[in-house]
Amino acid sequence: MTHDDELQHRIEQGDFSSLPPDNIDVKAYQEIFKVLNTAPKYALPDNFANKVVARLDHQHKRSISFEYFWFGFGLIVLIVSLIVSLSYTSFKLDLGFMKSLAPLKHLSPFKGVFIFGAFFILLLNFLDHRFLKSKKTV
Amino acid sequence: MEDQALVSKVISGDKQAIMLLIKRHERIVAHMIGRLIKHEGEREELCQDVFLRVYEKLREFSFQSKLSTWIATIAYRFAINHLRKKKILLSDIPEEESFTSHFVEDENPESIVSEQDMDAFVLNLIDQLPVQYKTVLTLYHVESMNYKEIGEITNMPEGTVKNYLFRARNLLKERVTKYLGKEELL
Repeated sequence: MTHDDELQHRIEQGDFSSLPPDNIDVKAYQEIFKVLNTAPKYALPDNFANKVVARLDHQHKRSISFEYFWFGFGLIVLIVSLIVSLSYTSFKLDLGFMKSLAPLKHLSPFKGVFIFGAFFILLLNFLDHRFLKSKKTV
Repeated sequence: MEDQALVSKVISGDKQAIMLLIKRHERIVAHMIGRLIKHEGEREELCQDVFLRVYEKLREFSFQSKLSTWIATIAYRFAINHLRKKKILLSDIPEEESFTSHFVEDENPESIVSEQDMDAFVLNLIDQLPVQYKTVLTLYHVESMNYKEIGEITNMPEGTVKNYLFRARNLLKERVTKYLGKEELL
C-alpha cells in the first residue's frame, strides 16, 4: 500500500489523530473528500414522476392506435385481395348456394370438433385479454 | 413497501406504485446522469428515458441484485450511450503517465478562474476526469455503494473499481496540492 493509499484510508475512516494537520497532502485530501461526499447539485423537478407517467400513458395510447392502424390496414388488404381474387376467378354469385354447400354435409359427424375449435379460440382471446393485455395497461 | 411487492404492483400497471418506484430511485438516477452529462438541457429527458426503460424491462428483473443497483446500471448505460451518440470522447482510461502529467499540469483559464473557490475548483477537476473515474467516485461517495455493487453497475472487476477510486482521488490531490502550494506562497 502506497503512502497516498494509506492517507486516503485514514481520512476516509476519520482517523486524523496520527496525521500531521499541517501536511499539504492531508489538507488536500480533506478538501477532496468533503467535496466528493457532497451530493451533486443537479436535482430533478418535483413533478418528475408525473412527467414519466404521462409519457408512459402517451406511449400506451400510441401503441393502441398503432394496433388499430394495422387492424384497419389488414382489413383493407383482405377486401382488396378478395376483389382481386373474384375478378381473376370470374366468380359469379349463385343464389342457390345451399346446393353448392352440399358437399360439406359429410363433415356433419365432426361438428363437435368445430364447436370445440370455436370455444377454444374464444378462450384464447379471453386469456390474452385478461392476462397479457392487462399487463400493458398503465 | 418492499421492493418485490412494489415491482409486482408496477408490473400490474398500478400508477401509484410506478410513482413510488420513481420517487424512490430518482435521486440515484439524477446523480449519475447529472455527473456524467454536462449539458443541463439533456439531463431531465435522459432521466425520463431511464425510467421508461426500467418500466419496459421490469418483468425481466429477477432480484439477483438490489433494485437500486439494477436501475443505476440502466442509468449508467444510458449515459454512456448518450455520450457515444454525441461523439463525446469516451476513451478507456488514458495512458497513466501522459494523462497524469496532462491533468496535473493543465493550466487552462477555466480552471484558473475556478480556483477562486476551492469547492468549485475541485468540482471542476472532477468534471475533467474520465467517465469511468467520475462514475466510481459518485457511486462510492454519494451513493455509498461498495466495490461489488459498483462493479455490477459498471461491469468492472472489484479490483479495478478500487484501483480507479484511489487513482482518481490521487489525481485530484495532485492538482489540489499544487493549488494549495501556490496559495501558501502568496
